[in-house]
Amino acid sequence: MRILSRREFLAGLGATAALSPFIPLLDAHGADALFPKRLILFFTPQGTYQRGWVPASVNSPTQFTLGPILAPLAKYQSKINQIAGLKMLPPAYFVAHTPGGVQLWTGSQLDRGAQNADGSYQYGSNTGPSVDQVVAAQVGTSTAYPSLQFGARTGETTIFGGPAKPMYPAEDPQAAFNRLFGTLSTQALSDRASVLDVVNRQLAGLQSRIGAADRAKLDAHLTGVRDLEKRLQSQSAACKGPTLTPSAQDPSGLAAMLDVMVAAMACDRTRVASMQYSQQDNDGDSYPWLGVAAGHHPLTHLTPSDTVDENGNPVTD
Amino acid sequence: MPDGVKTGAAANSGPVDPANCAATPSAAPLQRLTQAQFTASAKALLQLQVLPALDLPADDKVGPFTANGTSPVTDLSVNQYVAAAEALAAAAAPNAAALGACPGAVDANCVGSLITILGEKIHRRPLTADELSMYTTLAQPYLAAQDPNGAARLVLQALLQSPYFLYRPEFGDPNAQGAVVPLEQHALATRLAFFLTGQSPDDTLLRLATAGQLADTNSLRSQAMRLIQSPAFGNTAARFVSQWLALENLSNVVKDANSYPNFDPAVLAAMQQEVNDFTAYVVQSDDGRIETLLSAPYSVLTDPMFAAYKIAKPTAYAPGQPVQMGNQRAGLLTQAAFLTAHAHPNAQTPVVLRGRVIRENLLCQSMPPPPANVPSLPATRTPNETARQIFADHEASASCAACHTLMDPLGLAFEHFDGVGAWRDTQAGAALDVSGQLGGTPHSNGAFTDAASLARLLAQSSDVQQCVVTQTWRFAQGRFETAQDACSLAQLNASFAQNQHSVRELMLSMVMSTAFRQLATTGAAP
Repeated sequence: MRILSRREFLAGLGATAALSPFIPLLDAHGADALFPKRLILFFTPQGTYQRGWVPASVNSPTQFTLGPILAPLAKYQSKINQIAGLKMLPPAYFVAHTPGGVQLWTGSQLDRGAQNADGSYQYGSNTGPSVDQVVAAQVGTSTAYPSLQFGARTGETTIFGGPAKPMYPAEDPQAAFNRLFGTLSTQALSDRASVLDVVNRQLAGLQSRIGAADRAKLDAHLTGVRDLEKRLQSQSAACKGPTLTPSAQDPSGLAAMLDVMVAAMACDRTRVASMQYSQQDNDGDSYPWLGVAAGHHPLTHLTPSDTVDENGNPVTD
Repeated sequence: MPDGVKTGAAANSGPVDPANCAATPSAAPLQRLTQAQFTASAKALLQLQVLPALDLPADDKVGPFTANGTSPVTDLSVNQYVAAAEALAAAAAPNAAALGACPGAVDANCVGSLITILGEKIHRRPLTADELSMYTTLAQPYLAAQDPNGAARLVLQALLQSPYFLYRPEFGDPNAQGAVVPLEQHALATRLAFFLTGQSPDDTLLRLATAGQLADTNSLRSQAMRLIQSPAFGNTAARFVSQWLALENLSNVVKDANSYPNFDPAVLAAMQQEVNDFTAYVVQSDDGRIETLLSAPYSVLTDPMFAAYKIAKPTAYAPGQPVQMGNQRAGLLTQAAFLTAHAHPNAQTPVVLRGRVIRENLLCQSMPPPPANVPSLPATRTPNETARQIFADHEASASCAACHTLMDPLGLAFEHFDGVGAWRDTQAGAALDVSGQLGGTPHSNGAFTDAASLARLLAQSSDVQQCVVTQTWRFAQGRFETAQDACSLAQLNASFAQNQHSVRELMLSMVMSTAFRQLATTGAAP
């Protein structure tokens, strides 16, 4: 694969007609109504097996052989770009560990978090929205959900609605299924609506009594309640959603959640989604049912050329 | 001291003289209940033995502690709250007569008393006339249709979505004026209950708040002491310790069956139980000191842990009582939960994981980020080297040494404990040298001979003691300390020292502090 220089990449951004395959998102407005363009951000912070992911051979940016992980998509290869080697600039001040997750989709510099006794800083917050939220603001108004966040085993997020507005992913596949594809009786719908009305009035009353700094929090809650009220009026039974079958080989629910996400797209409940599997720090994750004894995180610390792990045990494919 | 290491002393008690400073509260952000606070409160308020499955919004963190004072809810969070309230209302509705203290079956009068009685508990203060009328109007259609049970369920559904339940709005004493005012007493009761018991205030606290009796410091102190003796405080102390020591991923831990054939979910649950029972015992039945938590010669075990530690269960062992652990172990850091959470799924040596959590969470030190170009591991590594042989490479490399000389010596002290906390005499067939030096600290450097000896060194460390005060502050306040809190923290450090570093007394001092009982009014907020 040829490395695109920063200059070439920016030139591509300026010439969307010619180079739109590199930047499909920018063309979203021109999408065919019958087959809308969609965006899915996928993040596996523990990394992906490089020898399976990186193209097996590269002649040019458009002529390359997909690695084994993407090989099943070979018939769509003309629509696939694989980009590697992007670097994130570190923050200008000292933070513990890696701030990458906050910068990943936001491309924003970190704000300073609280200062520790030793002069270092806590994780700062992002200073801008993640790219999916920018897209969702443009293309998300025609679907029930402007965007959806999915995850498995994360407990954190890389998606931000704006500065310091984390959008944590849904982690429970059954609950996500119920929200997206469940249908309520007329009575349950009317109950939910009348309760939301009470909640709405309480939020508005409380908002008038609290300080400016906290008012934004209740604003966000009010918006969520109003969006839900709107959605109650557009319940659709046309889309049944996937059949979820819990599996011992899917302890995190990732496979089930992927089914929910795909169905949400297919049913046009949203056109913008994100999926994150596991968290950025070492969470001890491993895949014993695949016969891999080592943890995902320590494996990630190896480079493609390492032939032994930290203990001197051979690393095999 | 290696380059790049941030140490430093003591900004939180630094130049401030606790005897001659004026502690004032700084702005406290609006807190939304954490998952743990929501579930504990719902269980108690609705008198449920078993909660239905709840999918609650993820929590923000303040250092290692969960707290939701920073970010606003999302569309997803609101949906999750709606679903949780509906599931809880359905589970609790059959018991509505008891919740409303009704003399007979659920009828219109009973729904009225449910609104008044449960409404006060869930809002954590008596309902206003407007609120009473709002909930009564909500119940009307069901009552008109002769369905009082439906009315009760709908009222429960609304109460559990109220912002006065999901959030903890705090207001000042309405009779006081100025930039700093005493907390209104129901808000004080709420702070007190969530801090010490992790859930909504009980009937006694609400009654005292309504009667205006919590302004009296003797009354407040005796209520705090009452809560400290309750089982809920044992849970709170265990949650503090578990989050402080970064054990929150323990329940997700997976281990490789070839490396650890005896490990299973029952043992995992028993490990967390040990931390909970031991912590509750130390803070409620023993001296409550940080020294005891970090270096007690005893623990509190259930059957799977007697087996895991290969300790004979004493005849006539009463559950919850201390068991002597022998000279290999001392306190929380040598308990299986810590050793298992900070280890790999297989036999790979967990030196760095254990060393790092001690530096960051116990000593409140920050590790610099890894250097830009970490070299590959040597391809010629000999199989079956000991951890000390492997980690010698770190010290040989200048770019590695900056961080690893801080983490590795501490982690190596625990090499007698494998990835599930079991003792091993040798590693890779070789005898183990687990002695070392604790360095790079402001006041606690020293030599140790093994993990128990390191634990005792840390247990006596003034750096750890100061870190405990800082961490307790974050846990209690749900926010990071600021420069404005320096006097409050200095006074807490002084009182911690006067009370032999009892965590129980520290939490009591926190409750009695100005910062806890008072509020910076909106006008004074930055």
